[in-house]
Amino acid sequence: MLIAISATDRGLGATVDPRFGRARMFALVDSDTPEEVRMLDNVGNSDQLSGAGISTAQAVVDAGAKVVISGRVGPKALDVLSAAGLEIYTGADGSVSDAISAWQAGRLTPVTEAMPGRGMGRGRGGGGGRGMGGGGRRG
Amino acid sequence: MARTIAVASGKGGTGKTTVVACLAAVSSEPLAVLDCDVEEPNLHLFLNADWQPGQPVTVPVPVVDETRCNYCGNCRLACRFNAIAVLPTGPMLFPGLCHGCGGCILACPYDALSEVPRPIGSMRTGRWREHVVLDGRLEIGEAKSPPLIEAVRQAAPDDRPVLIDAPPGTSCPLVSAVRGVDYVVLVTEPTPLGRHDLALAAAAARQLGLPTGVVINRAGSNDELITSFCAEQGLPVLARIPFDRRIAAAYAQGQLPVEAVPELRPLFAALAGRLLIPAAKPAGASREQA
Ligand code: SF4
Ligand code: SF4
Repeated sequence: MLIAISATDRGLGATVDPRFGRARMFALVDSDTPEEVRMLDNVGNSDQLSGAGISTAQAVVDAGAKVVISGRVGPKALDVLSAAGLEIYTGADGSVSDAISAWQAGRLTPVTEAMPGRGMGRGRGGGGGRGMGGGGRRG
Repeated sequence: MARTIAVASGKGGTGKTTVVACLAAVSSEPLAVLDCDVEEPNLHLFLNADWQPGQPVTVPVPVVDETRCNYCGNCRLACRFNAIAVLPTGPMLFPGLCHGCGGCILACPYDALSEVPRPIGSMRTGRWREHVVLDGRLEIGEAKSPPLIEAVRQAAPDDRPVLIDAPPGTSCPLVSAVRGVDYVVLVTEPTPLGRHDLALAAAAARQLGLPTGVVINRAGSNDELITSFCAEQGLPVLARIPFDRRIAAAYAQGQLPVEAVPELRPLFAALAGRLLIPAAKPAGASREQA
């Protein structure tokens, strides 16, 4: 299972970036091989003026991550990540490897946010995301 | 061209709406009075107008026909505002970020997207004495008020001076309400906080290049706080509304201060004359100061 951890620098020794949407990069670690790390550069998303959390979440989903570990995750990023079925853990600090150990030990807070309303019904006001369906029917 | 005047303040609760209502009450000519404080419209509490039924105000948003979408992600890449994510479950829209530009619809190679109207609030028109009154009301939880504010402004008749009750603050809603007006009146109170908020609002008006003047509400012994700022900035003090318990009592009952406290009438009549009579520029308010 692929885990994405927001990080301020490269490698397992780097500090966890407390902000998900504005993180400079992500450490991608497979839970079966936790000593190996791949980096996902996020500068192109984190410096967006509008919707940085959304495009960051999209990049993490596209990278194939199933678990996200960060300090804080904003509401829009949370909508995207939970709609895509990822598990989200917040409150991580220290190094990337500390965060992985804390997650393995069950010491991080899972975010159990209700899924935003799907379809064209009203979601959660103007800020929340929602599915865009309503134009057709799967058949 | 009839003049357009906006009454604004750096924060709520300074008496901005009271000033608008009193100006309307004493105006010698018919006005269009617009409540553009669409998150908390309260002009209707003072001007007991004959309202016509409200009309919905919408913004266009994309919807997807899921039978056509193949999750290519082009719509997401086309959106400058990152208002779309494309997930394995389908495209997901963040209406609060969507500007309704239609770019995603053009970018979709499979004709899977189309535009539908999304209601963000409502507006209505009424008559109060000889004036036309308009107000807008944003839906609860809706994040974007500028399109509604613009709709209210566009609906104003153009054959008479327009008086706008602008939303408090200095961000996008204020900018939408004051952009392009002929004059901005900033209402403030003689307190350190009032001076602070006035400075922010005055800076916003200056950035928009709008001639600006100041009305001091609940004026009294501390007016120096505001008058010194105005002197520094070259802003005219247009009027001082004295502190008077009867004004607060009138306000609490939704009664117009100019009617509860007749001594205020000449003050507001003079202000209305300066601000609203076409072709007569407000004294001390030359464009060069803007
Ligand atoms: S209409 Fe424009 S702003 Fe809205 S989602 Fe499409 S591209 Fe983005
Ligand atoms: S561009 Fe069209 S086909 Fe591609 S993901 Fe968006 S809606 Fe689906």
